Amino acid sequence: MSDLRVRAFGAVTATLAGVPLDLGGPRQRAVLGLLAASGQRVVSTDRFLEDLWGGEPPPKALSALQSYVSRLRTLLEPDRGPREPARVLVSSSPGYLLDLPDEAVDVWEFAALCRTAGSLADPAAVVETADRALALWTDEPFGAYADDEWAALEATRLAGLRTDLVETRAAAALDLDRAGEVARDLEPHVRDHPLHERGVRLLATAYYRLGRQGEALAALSGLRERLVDELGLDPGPELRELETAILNHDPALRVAPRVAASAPVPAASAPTPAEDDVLGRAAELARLHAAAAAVAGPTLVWVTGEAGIGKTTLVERFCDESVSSWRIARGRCPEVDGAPPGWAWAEALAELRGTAPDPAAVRGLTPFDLAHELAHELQGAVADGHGALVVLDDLHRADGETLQVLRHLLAAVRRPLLVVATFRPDEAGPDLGLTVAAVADRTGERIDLAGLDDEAALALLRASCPTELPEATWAALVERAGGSPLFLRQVGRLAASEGAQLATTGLPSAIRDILDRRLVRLPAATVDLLSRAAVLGRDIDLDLVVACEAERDLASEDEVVDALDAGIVAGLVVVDAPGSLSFAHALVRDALYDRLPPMRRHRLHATALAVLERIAPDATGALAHHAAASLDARSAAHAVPLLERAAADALRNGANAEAVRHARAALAAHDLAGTAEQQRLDVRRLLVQGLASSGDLAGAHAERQASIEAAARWGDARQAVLAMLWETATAWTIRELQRVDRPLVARLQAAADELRAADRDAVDERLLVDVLATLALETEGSDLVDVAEAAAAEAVERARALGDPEALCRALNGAYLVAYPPRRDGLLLEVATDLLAASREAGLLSYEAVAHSALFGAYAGAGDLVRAEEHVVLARSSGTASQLPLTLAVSGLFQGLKLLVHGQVETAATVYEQVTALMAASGDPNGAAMSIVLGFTAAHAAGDTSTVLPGVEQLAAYGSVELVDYQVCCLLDAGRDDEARAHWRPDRDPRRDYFWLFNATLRGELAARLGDVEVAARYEQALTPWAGRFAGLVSGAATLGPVDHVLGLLARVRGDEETALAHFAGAAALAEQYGATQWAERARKCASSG
Amino acid sequence: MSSASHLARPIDPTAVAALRRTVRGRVAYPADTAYAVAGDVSPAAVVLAVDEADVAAAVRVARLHGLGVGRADGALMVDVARLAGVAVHLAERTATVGVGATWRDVMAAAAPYGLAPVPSWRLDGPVGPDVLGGAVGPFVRRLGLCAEHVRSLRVVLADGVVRTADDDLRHGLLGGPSLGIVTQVDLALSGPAPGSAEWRTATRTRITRDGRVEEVGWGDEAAHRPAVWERGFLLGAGAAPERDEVLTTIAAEYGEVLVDELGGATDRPSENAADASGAHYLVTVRADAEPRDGSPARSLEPWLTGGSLLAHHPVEPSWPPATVERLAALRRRHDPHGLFR
Repeated sequence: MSDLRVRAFGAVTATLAGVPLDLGGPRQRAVLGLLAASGQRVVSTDRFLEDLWGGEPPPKALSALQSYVSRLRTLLEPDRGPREPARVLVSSSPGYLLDLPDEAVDVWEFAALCRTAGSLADPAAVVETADRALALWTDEPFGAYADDEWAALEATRLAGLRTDLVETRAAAALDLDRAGEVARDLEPHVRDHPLHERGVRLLATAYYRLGRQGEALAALSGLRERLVDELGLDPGPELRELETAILNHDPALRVAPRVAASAPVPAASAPTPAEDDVLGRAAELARLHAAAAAVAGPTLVWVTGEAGIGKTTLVERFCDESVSSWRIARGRCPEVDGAPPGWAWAEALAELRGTAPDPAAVRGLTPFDLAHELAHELQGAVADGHGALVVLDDLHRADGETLQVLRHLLAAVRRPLLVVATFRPDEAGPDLGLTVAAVADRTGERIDLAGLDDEAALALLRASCPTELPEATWAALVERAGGSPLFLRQVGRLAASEGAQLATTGLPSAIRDILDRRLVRLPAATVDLLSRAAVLGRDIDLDLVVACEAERDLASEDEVVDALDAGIVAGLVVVDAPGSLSFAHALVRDALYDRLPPMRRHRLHATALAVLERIAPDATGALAHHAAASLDARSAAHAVPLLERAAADALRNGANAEAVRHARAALAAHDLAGTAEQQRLDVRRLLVQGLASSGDLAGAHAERQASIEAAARWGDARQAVLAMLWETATAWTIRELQRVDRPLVARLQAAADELRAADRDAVDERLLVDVLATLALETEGSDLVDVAEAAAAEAVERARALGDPEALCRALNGAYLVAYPPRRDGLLLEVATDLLAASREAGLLSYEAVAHSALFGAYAGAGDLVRAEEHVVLARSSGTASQLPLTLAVSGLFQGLKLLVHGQVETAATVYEQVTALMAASGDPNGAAMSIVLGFTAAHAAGDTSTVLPGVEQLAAYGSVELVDYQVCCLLDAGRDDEARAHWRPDRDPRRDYFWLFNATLRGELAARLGDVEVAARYEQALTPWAGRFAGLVSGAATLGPVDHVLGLLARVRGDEETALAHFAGAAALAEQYGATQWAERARKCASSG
Repeated sequence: MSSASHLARPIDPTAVAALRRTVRGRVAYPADTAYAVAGDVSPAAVVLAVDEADVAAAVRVARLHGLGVGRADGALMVDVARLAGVAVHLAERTATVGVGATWRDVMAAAAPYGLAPVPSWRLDGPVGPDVLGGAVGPFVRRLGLCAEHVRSLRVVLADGVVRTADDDLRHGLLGGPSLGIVTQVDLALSGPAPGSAEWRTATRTRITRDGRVEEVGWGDEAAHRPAVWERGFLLGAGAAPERDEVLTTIAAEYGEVLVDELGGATDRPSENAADASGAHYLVTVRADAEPRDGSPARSLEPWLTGGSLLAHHPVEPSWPPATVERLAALRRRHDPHGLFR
């Protein structure tokens, strides 16, 4: 590069290492000339077409220009490899520029030396610099193209520089006391430029120094006359002062030379590129900075807006402004399916480590591990006194794992951390919606980007369209673009090529149509190749593209590079970093991809699959993506194992939605391939797990049923058992309304019996544990709860003996659901603690989340609301996407419960209403029921449940004993005692689940109020172990106040006033302790009314 | 350090964007632990260059955005430690060495061919600063300064172009203040083989705090490692006993004094700015901490030659008047706006 020299004084020529280059015909030569005449600025393709063909470019002009450029590149950089980007004649949207140092191009060197001479303080240096510059001026600049407008303009500018330079040199030479030389140089100069004041002044000073005072005055008066005669101007004050000084022999005229100043001159020799990417976003930037300034702990800022609105640009600028105070790492969610789960984090991790992103860095890590790895890396990469800024772009495309890591990270990091995440609200899935809700307490700011205002829009439009358009056209374009920066930029480029024509031919209203129209203007082969590359995703992996093209013998490596280059010039492809290319926007990629007919897409995906299998056999996700997109009868058999492996991988990595998609694709492939049903049983189980893990219980049940039937028909005995298993962690019942599937329970019991009877190896023992754990899940909270308890206990015992932590997790998950009261106090805490330990040992995050939910219940039940809250937060942050809705609801309800227990009854009621409304809105089938239950709870705390009777009656119609009791209570409060008695069912007991203590306490209260001595006696006994507790607090959602209060009522029923008073005192004390004045007063009132 | 960096003027975001797009290696800002390579100064950013192109890109960005280049507050610092490749050319008996490579790297690459460089005493230190600063090595009397063995060098100048320095520029870069960023040097492999008698018996003199005078060779690694504080002085001839007494006093006051005997090859005036002709000794005063008051320059005054070697941390860099003039001309020509700090 250093040996290349371009000359433009006279003809345009170039030499490389002193050897002249044959630059080809006049038009090709003019390409170089035009670039030289434009300095280091980009010359747009449109301007080339305009200037090279005198305003009338033929249809093939663009292709011709591309080949001129290509040939010139070969000449100028003969050693450049095919893949290396051009470094001299560089592609830069919307055209090309000559990236050479000033001294490599004689006209630039001349201009640079002129600038230098003007900025130097040392007169000797000025003279030396000026002489070097003047030596370059061997001929008129761009003399060979003097008739062309582009050349004439630049030549005029250079001539002006030369004039100034001669005078600058003269001034410096005078300072060096070289008056004779100055007079000789300036005499011809003043003849050529007789009206230049400065030249004449310098010449006069030189004459004076030489003792030629008369000539000095003559020169000045000559100028005065010319000014007056030719321009009608009076000479300036400087000229008059000089005249006076000469006449007075002013000693100042002799002061020379100036002291050579050595002060450094600011190095601002070239203008700063002024392209302002975030026009019109100052307010949003300020909000980002304000949010950053407020960061104390981990904080999240959302930046949302539709495609092309400028989210990425805004955040990028924010980062670039923040480098001095924040350590920045970025991750982008891949635009195309098939990247490894959690890819965005792999990118961020790599940036923190200063390495290249590597899928292996995240493979096999659980989201929990990954979050901790990130937290650890942040610790090491961020200097003291600074925070870390992590940018996550396009989060609407994030897989489950990426979101889970985000939730974790916000909980795991203890130092200032700012996560700025962008997404498109209209493309955000339910997982992202839940995440937004889950991290609400860590959210510092949410910036919803709207369109640019008209002023900013116009500025951006003008910046991307160098051509001047009629005012009306500008206005129309601005209006049509609706403030979208992407639209403005693309339409600006379109306008640059179509000009005013755009207004007459009608402006496309959709960004897609604009992109299509821009694509039409490129050579067809280029568009074709870019479209094929779009099959591989938004990021352009050059190796992969070249390999795919070679596979089908479509384009050579050179052609690929040329097409991508054309893409860069057109602004469709951008260089993110040296050697890393991508499509400029997801919409650009989509527009290109959609140009391909379906059959070709199909074939291209097949090609991509074949190539990837060879060069990246471990990229399971990508392989599955292309396998699914190219699925047909011929490829199906080959695709099956790829899709199954991807499904299993995704499931292991917590990428549940992906797992479901891959599993479904695998089943479709099985169908196409006509594989035996028995071969499909494994992937069916993956599908069940994927659905269950992503929270689709109904879907999971349906698929499990299908799986059970298929296994029974086509599978062996073992497969038949496996098909029944529920292998997903669950903090909640897996059954809708806790209905029992009796045939399934019977089959599970039979399977357990059979396994117990057989000789078992470790595998069979594990299977037995799983069968028992599933049995517990299928029977808990029902009339078969004894079966559940026995199965869970046996499962735990066997899993412990087996020493298999994963099996133990499943067993304990079952045990947890049956550990609530009325079972022994403290059992729930033990099971929860064991589950936490086992889940950590197994590295199974989903079970850890369940353990936290269990601990939450245990501590809540014990009245330790502080620790309960800690665990509900942990459950929320460690939960998988499927667990989120529940944990979110639970933590919301807990807020209401806390208020209730602290005596704020009315506020609690409001919170209950809000949370249940949200639950119902999110489609939770329990939302409506919960709303009634909690309304009842709040009314009960206020002392009158009659207000909620209508809702309770509606629900009680389903006939469950618990709800009938609510109804009885409401009726009693309403004074309708006869009706209450008519509904009272003395013979039935409430379900044993997390609401048992709540329901049992209510039942005790009703028995006392109705004077049902028998029931009262039974419940006094059942409730006695729970004295000192709030009834129902263990549910984490609702309570009826201290159990002691009801025990007091029950003691009174059998006339034991002493015990009753003791219980009322206990109730009052417990209520006081929490500030629950409503229950303290109730207890005192009852005590005094005895 | 952290507080100082908070005070630094934030870097222009468009410069950040330009660095992001054009530099392949990492760019460290104050919040990045990798920024610690800047030590006690607060540059706007540190470019951890991985190749010549990175250095060139960094200089271009700096020039375009009005930043100075160098290890200085507010400037763009370019760390060249990763330019550490070594390629041996057997026929020419030379090695092309990235400035970040250590002498040990060069020795390891040259050893299989039975060749060796002319190293400084700091075998684990990078080659670049030693050859560019005119370091004195163990074989200085026979082979001269390390800089004498540089056959050619590649440098990125203020225009952001990588080029091979012409003779004039090379002589200025070898021993003069920074006119650009040198990325690689071609070294003549004319040193004695490690393990040879000449290698094994090389020594320098150490005067300890308690006045002991001893010869230290390769074995005493601590003597050759850079000290927390050290200053080098080129001394001429004359009044030996008196001078030795002064050195003993300085050693007692500061910590220790190392004496390298010059002469022989260094007697010939060099064309490089790094020139030790006329000096008989290089005296290096070393301390474990920044001394509280001043430097020992005053007491050494009678013997100072007036020259200096940048590699040895002179109190005040100085060159003979003719060299100063040459360096000024080079500066005018190659860095008229004072880009390099």
